[in-house]
Amino acid sequence: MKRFDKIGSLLCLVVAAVAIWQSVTIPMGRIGKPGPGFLPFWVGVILALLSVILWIEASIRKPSPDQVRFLSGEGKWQYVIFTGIALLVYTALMEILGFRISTFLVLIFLFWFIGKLKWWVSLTGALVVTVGTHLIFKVVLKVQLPMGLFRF
Amino acid sequence: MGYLDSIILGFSVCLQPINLLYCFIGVFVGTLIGVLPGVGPVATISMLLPATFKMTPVGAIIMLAGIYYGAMYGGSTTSILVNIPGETASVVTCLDGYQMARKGRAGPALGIAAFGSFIAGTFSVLALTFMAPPLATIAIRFGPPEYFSLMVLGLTLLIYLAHGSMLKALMMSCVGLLLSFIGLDNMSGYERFTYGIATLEDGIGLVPVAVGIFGLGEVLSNIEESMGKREIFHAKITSLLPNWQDWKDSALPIARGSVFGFILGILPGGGHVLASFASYAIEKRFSRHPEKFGQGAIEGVAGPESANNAGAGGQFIPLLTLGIPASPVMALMLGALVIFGLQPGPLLMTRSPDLFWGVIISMYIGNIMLLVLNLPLIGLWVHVLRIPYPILFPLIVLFCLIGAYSISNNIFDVFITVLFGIIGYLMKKVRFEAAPMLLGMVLGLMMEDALRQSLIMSGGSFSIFLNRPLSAGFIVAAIILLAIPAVRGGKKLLVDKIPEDA
Repeated sequence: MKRFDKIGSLLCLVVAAVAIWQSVTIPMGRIGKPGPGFLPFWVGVILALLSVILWIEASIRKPSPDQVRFLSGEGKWQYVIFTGIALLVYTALMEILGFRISTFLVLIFLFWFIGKLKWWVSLTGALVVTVGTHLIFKVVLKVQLPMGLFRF
Repeated sequence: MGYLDSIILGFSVCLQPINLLYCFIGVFVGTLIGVLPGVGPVATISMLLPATFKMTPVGAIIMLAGIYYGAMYGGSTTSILVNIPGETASVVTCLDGYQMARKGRAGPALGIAAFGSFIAGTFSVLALTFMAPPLATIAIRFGPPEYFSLMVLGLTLLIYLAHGSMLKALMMSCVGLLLSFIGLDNMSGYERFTYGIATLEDGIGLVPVAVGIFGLGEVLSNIEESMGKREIFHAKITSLLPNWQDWKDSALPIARGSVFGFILGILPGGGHVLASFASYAIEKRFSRHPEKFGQGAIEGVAGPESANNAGAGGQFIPLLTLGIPASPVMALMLGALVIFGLQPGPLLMTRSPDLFWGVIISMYIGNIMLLVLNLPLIGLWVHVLRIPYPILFPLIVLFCLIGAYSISNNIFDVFITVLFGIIGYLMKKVRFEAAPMLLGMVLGLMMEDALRQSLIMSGGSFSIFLNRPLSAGFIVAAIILLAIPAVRGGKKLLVDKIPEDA
């Protein structure tokens, strides 16, 4: 926990630094009449202070037995990364391939590679779910879904 | 309009067949996602929000509310039968509920959970019916300074009641505030943190962030941990009705759970999760045989399960009377109301009485439906539990992403969802709570507007927050809360057991 609190505090410090640095470019107003940059600046300053406090607190704290298992051998953290990447790729592909094709592909990946289902189960599952969601969302609920370049 | 007229109006609205149907869909879906571990009301309501755009406002809010309190019922089933909480509010139900099931008393455990939920749910709706109108009349007199101070107090309470480290909760609410500042500034029209990205002008939506953190983030951590493998209790459930002794043991826990749960529900950051944990701690202390807790004491099921339902009802008070959400779920409800062009707050009761009373009265009916859904139809939910996670999680992912996309038909929102899914997974790992961040996001702009309007009123003097008695009271209360981290003893007891993602 100790180490992760330190990392977390550093990340928050980065967020705070960006916020402060960016809000300086926005009109600040003055104390009695705050402009658009006023609150972002001060919230950024507070966040920075808190991050420093957390870092110091985590440094002097005794290491606790309750260690977070994190990107370590146990568990299947690789699959978390694969899933994350797959979803980012899916997001990028949706506008190009359209909802149906890209959904079908990402579902096969999730069922088969991440979920370890048999290939024919994955294939049927992906097909059924793609058609099903298309019917529910596009036909019944009339939600716009990306068509992609092929208009399919 | 007297109470009787209002209640009759409420019934006339929610007894319309279409609204009854929406209510049923709401509580049905609520129970479903309550039973399924890893999908909570926050993710579900965000996913379904776009689907409600074509409904009437009353129907939509009735349905969304039904999902919320329905989930409180469903969560206990999974806790009792599988020893995995279906819902964060049902974590403590595992302790004694599962033990009861192992001793062959799964039926009475499920029964008392459902009856307790029903009693507490009805109690909280009654309290809501009679407390909301007077509170709204007080709140009508609130000006920007009162709102600002109240929101400061609200955020402070949220941080104070945070499950883990108060410092981290404070940091997360700062991050939330910063996120809310992204986009066009309401008052000056100045673009903040947009970097020329056109879609950022409207700011980052609450729904993509909520779906990301509470939906995708949850899926990602389940993928890492054993792919959600679970063993379902295979004993036959014989009788669901608790016997006379069970009722005698449970009567007081249910009563205490209802009252404490409701009060905790009103407080920001309290809500249903804290309510159930507090109730368990209270029951253990009050009990004449505390050693039986953890070994199948029915009080340990009855109390918390009542408390989380009462808490869910209490949450509606700040939303309906002040227009301030006390939890991520209520933030989404607020979003839904705004989408329908309704301004939640003290005027809601007078401007749209049909919605105000229709929604409140629908909760009575919803609770009755839930009792039926959760007792005679319990077998159905046991089957739902048998769906393997590898089949389930791609569906959850897909619904999350479609929900995020359809809110404004923008692929950028999907990207934000995936991004916050990953961020949410990491936050869960390193124990940074998401609830303060989400509330910070919602309250940020509201607070900023209130602050600036107050300062315009006072001609630039901050003393306006202390000159007005109510506002001064809120500020003083907030300072006291931050200065004296008292009542630590009671909190320490809970800290270790409470999960991160309330």
